[in-house]
Amino acid sequence: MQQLDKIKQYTSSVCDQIRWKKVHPMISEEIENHISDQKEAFINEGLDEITSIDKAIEEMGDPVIVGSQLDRTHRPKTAWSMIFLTISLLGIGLVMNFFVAGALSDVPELYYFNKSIVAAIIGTVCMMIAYFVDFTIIGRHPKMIFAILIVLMIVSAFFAIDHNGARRWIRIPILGPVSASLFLLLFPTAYAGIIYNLRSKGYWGILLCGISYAIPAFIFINMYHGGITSVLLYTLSCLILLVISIFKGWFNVKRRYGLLVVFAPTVVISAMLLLVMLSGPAAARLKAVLYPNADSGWGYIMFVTRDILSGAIFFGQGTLPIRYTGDITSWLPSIHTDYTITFLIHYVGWIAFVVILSVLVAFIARGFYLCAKQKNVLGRLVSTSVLLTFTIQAVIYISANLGFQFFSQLPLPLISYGGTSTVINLILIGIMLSVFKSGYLVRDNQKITNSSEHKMFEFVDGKIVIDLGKWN
Amino acid sequence: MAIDKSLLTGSTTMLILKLLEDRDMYGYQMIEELSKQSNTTFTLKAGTLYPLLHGLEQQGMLDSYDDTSGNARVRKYYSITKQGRGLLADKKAEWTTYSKAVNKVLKGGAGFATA
Repeated sequence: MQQLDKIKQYTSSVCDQIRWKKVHPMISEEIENHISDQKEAFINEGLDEITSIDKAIEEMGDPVIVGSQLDRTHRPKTAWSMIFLTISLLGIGLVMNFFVAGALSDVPELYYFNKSIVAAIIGTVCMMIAYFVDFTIIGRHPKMIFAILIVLMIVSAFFAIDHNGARRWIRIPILGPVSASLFLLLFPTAYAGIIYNLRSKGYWGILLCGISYAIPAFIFINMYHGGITSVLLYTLSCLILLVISIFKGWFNVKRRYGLLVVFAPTVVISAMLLLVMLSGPAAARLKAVLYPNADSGWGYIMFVTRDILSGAIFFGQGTLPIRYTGDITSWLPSIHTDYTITFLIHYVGWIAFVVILSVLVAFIARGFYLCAKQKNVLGRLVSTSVLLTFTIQAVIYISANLGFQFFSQLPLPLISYGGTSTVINLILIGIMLSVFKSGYLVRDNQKITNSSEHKMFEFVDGKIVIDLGKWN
Repeated sequence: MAIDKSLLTGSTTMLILKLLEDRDMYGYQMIEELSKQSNTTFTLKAGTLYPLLHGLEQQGMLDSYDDTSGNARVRKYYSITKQGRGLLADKKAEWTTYSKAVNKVLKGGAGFATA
């Protein structure tokens, strides 16, 4: 017993030198295993157990030197570039809201600017909390997290206030109205945990992933009567995550069949939805995007945005066609939320657009680069889910601001006015930063292999028989 | 024969990468194998090995994974990456140039008997 304590004592002296506590378990395990191996070798050579352990520990070398060397290797990897870009985006948002708040005359002076400062502060605190919480909780308790989010979504639906036929807002004391439909932005990241846990179940896993996807989507559509763009974002993110997982071999199934299991239902359901929608408002919308007409409902905003953009210059305020008399705010609606960029292009010039777009692209590109360097499956899935959520929002927002309103508007993460969106997006970014910080410590319980050396793992992959027997 | 430690330090990275070139191994196995292949000339201390392995892994030269197959213990195996193979090639070339130069000087000197 005393000898076992010696091993523990040795590993703890090593770990004492390593400041980052999270790496302690991994290092202790490896060193303990090593000492045990060495001990067994000595016993095989004929030494008694006690001497073997003493000698094995001696062979390891000075624990303080070993520990301090390991300490130099293992430091939390703070993704400073991403933090800098996040702060830049928040900064751009505040400056933008300052301009917009000045241009709006129907609200108290700087009303939206002050509110966005509050949102930025609350969001930053939430981001820091998410950063320090161990993100592997998403992989360890995905069902619970998913269930909690679904329950919250159902409960909020009862408290949501009807707005133009859709349930959008929940009034929370002190904080004010919170946008309920943006809640769905949290789901792709929770879904990453679901995929992570179902990936060992082969084709069944893929099927179960499909069902898991459908539950919140179905509930949301039925209870919120709107926010279809959020559903689209959720759907697209889940679909991409699932396809990536199949491609990377995480489900351990033959790619072609795996994709078939995903796309067969997706195509059928999309086709059905399309048929229903083409007879309804979606058709009018598509027509409006392609042939804008100032008289129709959706055509109006497209017409106006495109007119404003055509009169914009690179530096400075652009001009409007003669028939636009008076202030731009009387023509362009919601400049503080949905059309801030269009407004800025008119007011400051295309330069504003170039600056904002560069920072957004830098954020997305750097994010995907760091994400690609993640070696473990959970870190990859979680950071990809956050980046997808971010990217899809940005693409939808910017295309609408450039005059292509295919969908109803989503916020521009961290930039456009909206407290709920700022806070939710900062939480997601905090989770992603946490992956970048400590993702490399997470150990997958199964070997991810794409090298042909490990024939054993290609056994299932090479089978043409669809093996549904992987239930456990 | 035990050799001066400082001779080993510079080439340990190369030796580790070389060991992993053919198959994945865990730490203890590498020390054993190194000792065996070098007729016990190289006795690498575990305390030197692990910081080196972890450093190489972070630089992307090595990958690691847990494997329980065949053992009671979970073993952390290391495998060489494409980048690691590139580093090995560089190190080998460097070593060849260096050892050739050393041998040349030694041969030029007096009293050098065996090559």
